Amino acid sequence: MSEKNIYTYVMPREFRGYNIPISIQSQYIKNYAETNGYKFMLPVTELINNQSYNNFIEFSKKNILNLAMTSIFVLPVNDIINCKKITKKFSDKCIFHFVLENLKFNKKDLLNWIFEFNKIDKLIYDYKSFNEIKILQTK
Amino acid sequence: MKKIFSINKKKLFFFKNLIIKEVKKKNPSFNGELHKIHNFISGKNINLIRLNCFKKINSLDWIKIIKELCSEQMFYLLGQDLLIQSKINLSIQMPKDRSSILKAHSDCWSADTPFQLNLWLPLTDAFSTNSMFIMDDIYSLKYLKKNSNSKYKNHKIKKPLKKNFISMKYGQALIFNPSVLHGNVLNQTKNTRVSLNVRFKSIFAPEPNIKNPDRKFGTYYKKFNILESTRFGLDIIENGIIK
Repeated sequence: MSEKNIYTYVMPREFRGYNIPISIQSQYIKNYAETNGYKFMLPVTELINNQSYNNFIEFSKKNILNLAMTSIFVLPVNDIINCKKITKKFSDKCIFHFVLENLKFNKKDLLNWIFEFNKIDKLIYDYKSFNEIKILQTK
Repeated sequence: MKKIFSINKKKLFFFKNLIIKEVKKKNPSFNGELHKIHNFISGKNINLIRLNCFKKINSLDWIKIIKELCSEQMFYLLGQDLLIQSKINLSIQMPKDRSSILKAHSDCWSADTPFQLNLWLPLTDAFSTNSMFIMDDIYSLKYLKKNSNSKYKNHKIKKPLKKNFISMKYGQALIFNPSVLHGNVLNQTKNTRVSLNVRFKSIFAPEPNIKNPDRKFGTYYKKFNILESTRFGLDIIENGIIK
């Protein structure tokens, strides 16, 4: 496998509130590949079925070195066990590229990031919960 | 809320030097004076320079420098459990460049949390129309409230006065809440203004819900600093000790 080939993976269903047309995801990753000197390989689209990562796991059988996707949230970031499962068979040498967040990780660092993210994310509330707190204070 | 303070020029030079190098790549005769960029780069090429610099800075460990420059001030204002915007932004405001005008706006219009603060770092002196203007809190809030009920047409924002333009020397930093109306006008001075800006938010401050994923932790923000005691608290929760 050439170090300069970057394989690409796109998501046809919603991820973290985004629902981005495949062609736009593809163009976005292609632009990333070109500006970073990688040879863009045509995207593999995941199945539409909820929770499916079948085509993502397929990449692990190909011994690839670079895999790019639009966002880290294409992966089931809120479910660390699932993340471990779907990345389990990837080589330690494989680098995952997440264009939106400007992140690049090997498998170990990816799982560490997801673990840390979930820890901190638990502490952050949105405006809705903020309003609930305000209501509690005025009662 | 606005706060101007002095920072370490030597550390700030990291960013300045990087931009100088990028400009020199395009025009080797550039003398290194950022406020004179317009004499070496045409208006047509400036955005490409800006994009190249933006990409270069964001590929490096810029957070380390920012930590050294402003942690103390930011910790004082927001606490020590902080998130920082994932990418640091760069503005270049050349004289008479209409393409760089950013009309008065509030960052909360594009779903940014109103609980964040913006660190603004000029890499040249900033003054008069080459600088940014910031309207006062009372007017901003009044306008934002009025405009939030308007469906088809924005209410007119009053013209910024001389006193609204920030006057700063290279080596100073500004922290302000970007939910307050701010922007810039046509640079009518003879100097280019170059500046960086990046946003901070307390981990414990609210952020938009899933309807605005672009402005959430993980995408828009990343970790800046977490207290040991917070980490310990997280471990308590993580291990299911508190049910």
